[in-house]
Amino acid sequence: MNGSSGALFRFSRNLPATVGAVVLAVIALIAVFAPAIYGTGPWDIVSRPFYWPFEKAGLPLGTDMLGRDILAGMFDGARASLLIGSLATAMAVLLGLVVGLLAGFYGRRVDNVLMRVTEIFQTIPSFVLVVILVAMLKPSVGTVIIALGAVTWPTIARIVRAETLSLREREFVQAGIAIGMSDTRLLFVHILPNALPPVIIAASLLMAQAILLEAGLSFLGLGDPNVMSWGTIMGNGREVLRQYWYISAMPGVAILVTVLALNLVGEGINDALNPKLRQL
Amino acid sequence: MGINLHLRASLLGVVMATALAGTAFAQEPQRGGVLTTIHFPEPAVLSSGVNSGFVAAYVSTKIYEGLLKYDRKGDPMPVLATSWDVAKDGLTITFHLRDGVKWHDGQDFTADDVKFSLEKVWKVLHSRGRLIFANVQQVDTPDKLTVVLHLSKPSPALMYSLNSFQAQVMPKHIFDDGSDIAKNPHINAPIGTGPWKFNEWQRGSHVVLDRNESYWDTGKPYPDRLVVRYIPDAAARSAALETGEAQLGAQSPIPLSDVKRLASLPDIKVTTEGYEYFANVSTTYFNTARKPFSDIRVRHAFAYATDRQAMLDDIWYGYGKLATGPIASYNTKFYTADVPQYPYDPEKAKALLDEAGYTPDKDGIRMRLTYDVNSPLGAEYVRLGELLKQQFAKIGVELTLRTQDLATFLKRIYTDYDYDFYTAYNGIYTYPILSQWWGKNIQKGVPFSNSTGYANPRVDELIEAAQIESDPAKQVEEFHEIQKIVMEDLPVLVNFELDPVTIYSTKVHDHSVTYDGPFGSFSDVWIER
Repeated sequence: MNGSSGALFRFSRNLPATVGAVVLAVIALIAVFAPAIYGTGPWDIVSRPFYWPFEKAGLPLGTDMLGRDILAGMFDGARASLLIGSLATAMAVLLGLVVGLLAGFYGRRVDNVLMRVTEIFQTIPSFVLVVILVAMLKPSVGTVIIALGAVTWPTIARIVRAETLSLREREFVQAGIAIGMSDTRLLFVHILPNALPPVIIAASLLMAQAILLEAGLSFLGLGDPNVMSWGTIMGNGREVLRQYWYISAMPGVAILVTVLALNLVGEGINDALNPKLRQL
Repeated sequence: MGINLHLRASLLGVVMATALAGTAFAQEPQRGGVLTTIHFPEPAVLSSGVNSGFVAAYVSTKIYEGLLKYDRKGDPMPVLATSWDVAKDGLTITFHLRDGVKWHDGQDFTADDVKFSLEKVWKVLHSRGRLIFANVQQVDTPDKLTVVLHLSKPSPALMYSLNSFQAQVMPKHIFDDGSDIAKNPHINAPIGTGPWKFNEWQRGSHVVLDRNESYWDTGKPYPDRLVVRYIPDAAARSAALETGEAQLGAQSPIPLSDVKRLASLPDIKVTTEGYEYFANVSTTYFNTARKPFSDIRVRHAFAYATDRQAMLDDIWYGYGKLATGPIASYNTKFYTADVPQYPYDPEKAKALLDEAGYTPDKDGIRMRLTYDVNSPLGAEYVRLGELLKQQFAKIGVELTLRTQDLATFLKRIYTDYDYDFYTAYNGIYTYPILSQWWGKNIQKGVPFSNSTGYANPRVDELIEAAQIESDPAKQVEEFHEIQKIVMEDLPVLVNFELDPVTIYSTKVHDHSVTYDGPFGSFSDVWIER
């Protein structure tokens, strides 16, 4: 208990990390509540196209090329980006944990096979693989999550494997083996909790990566055509970038802020959990 | 709707400026210079005889010629044929060919070349040519400069299809060696009779054509060189036109949203003239073979619920005109406005859906449908899906948008028929080719065949009759009746007549002097210096 509350304290002492966490919380609140409270849907055509931000009362962020309220799109985009980002990350973490734990704990042939598979995924540029996967499956929220999860898990697997390899040789695990504890119990009760801290740090960065990848997909028009994500708005605005740059710029800023916040939080957790950086 | 008025006004301004300029440059053409043009995408081959698409045509129409060309009103003008007689029964057509024409390699052009092209290329290898020249039974060449076609049935479309876009005369001495014409190396290094000689094709970059010094129309063409550049990125194409790196871009080569900005620049002009020959209309296809579009009331409801003006103004930036039927209004010969019309009227749409038994459920939803976004055709079609989703939501129809790559799309639409509705565009041409409404054109697996499952025996009869009708008055009658029936049955909703744009430097003159505009030979184009 002492250790974790100490970590929390250290995190809160870290100003950038705290700012990141607050920003994330605000975005999460927006994602959950704003669309319902705001009322206007992201696809509703509410006014004439191409109102600049603050040009018209009631449309603080202006309208896009079809006269849709960009603010409504931004709210829904927050929901789509966070949802896709977090679910894809959850999938990657789950997959990475399983592969990493098995490879690290059993070693030898299991390790060999699993790591070669991981390397295949690591050597293909992740964005290219995502594009191929989504193009093969029909673009929808589900397939985008699966594709993003499928390309981001190797990082987690690598980290978990390394942690497991070292934990496996530690006395408490060796003692567990000696008294005949089952593999499942060893893996999930003793090794997994101790391997988690670096995974949490990596996951926060992975989520940032997933949000960026999703934006890239939607920008290229390969996202779910029924979901308004930040990338969708950016991609729509690309055509009119010369005259109406604000359409692409606003979701761009939103993505920047979110990804930055995730990175700050990740760094903060890292600093808080890293014993070498503990200040006395 | 302020923006629409604004758009319209500025569009009108552009058109007027072009018209004024048109009268102003009745100046003496000047020799010399290099004309760099943009078209997109890059073609697979450089001869239209074996590939009927627009991209191959853009280059090959400069090198090869047809027997005829069509003036700005669509009337035939001499090119390789100087005169022609059509027999009273329409079954014999005699062409008298131009004397002294030489191929780019110095050989004489003769009647044998025409006979070869018709029998071995147009009738066999060209997708539309197969239909257009189907009734040509025999081609006689009584002397070197006379060609006589004998037809089994009158073929009125034939006389409208002899320009170099549809029927390029190709050299017999190059291609008639018994080998596969489509694989002959000269397909991509063409030897023609036209004003421009092939110089080089740097794949992925450009095609260079040189002035034909010994062109039969002495003195033409005027520039020394014609370059066609292929630039993959739309914004970069815009920039090339803006900076003057290219002086002409044909067939809307840049995002339509950018056209207005370019048009406002002092040294750039925009015109929608020169595409009348193709008569493209934007069309929404309903799957009449299954529910709910098997019910005519549902099709009518969707027509009333489609705000086509918004579609045209907000997505196509006003480059078009609302259509009443498949035949565009500028085809004055066969067009009729006397057809059932579907002005935007969501209330009427709801009433029709009620009548058809599609009443709203507790969420206010009458039906859930999937709309296949024709994304391979470009960003406009993605935007259109989003717009339709909104428009149909107003009548209680929930639309799910589906995007897919071209191969999947084609299979879904033309092989599996597993779709509700989608939008595309359709070329109708001068003598209307209405194959999308022809029941006998339901050919499983053939892309761009009749995908709606629509087959009305009376329409089939009329379409077939019109193809072999020699009496002009009867042709008009038949086309009028077809338009009335298909707009009542409505397997295909015709949204608007498309107006592609040509963007060009004010220094470039006389580029679109024929009915097929930038797909003409560019024999008259000249650069002001």
